[in-house]
Amino acid sequence: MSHLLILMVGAALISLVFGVLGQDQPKAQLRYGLKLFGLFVVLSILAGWLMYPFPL
Amino acid sequence: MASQGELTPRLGGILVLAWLVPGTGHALLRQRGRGGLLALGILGLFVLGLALRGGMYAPIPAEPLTYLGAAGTLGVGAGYFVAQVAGLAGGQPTERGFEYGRTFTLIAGLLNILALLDVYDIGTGRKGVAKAA
Repeated sequence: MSHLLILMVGAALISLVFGVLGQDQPKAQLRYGLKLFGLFVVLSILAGWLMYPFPL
Repeated sequence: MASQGELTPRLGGILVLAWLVPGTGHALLRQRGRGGLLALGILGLFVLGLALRGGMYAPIPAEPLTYLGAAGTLGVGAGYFVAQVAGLAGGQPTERGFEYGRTFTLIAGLLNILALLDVYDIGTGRKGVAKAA
């Protein structure tokens, strides 16, 4: 399983829980969950590239 | 349902069950859809973490922060003990998904604690029972 796939599956499951807990109505839950998922993935990739020049 | 802000023995029992098995608290408060989705998310994340051979945080006296990790992971309830008995707690540090896996099992426990707070709020009437998923 690639790192990206693990990241996306993890982000999807976490977004699902936050979506269900954070909003009351199904449509709002779906919108919130999708927004969180997108932010998780995009910001993680962005953070990865930002850290790329720095050696551990 | 208890009156607002009141923790009744029934609600206490529901909270214990909700801790042991994620999603049951909401299901017992007539929010089966929401409970099912929470169970899917929390248990899915926990099982994924174990499948990645990440194991779970164990308290190590020389490393105090591991106590916080273990306490957070314990939030997932019965799964924590099942994984211990099944010998999956240690994980495999040489595996590629080890760090992801350990983080996922920790997050699963923390998310279930959030779900417990939601059960408490619904059970005491602080949060209105929505006709949502």
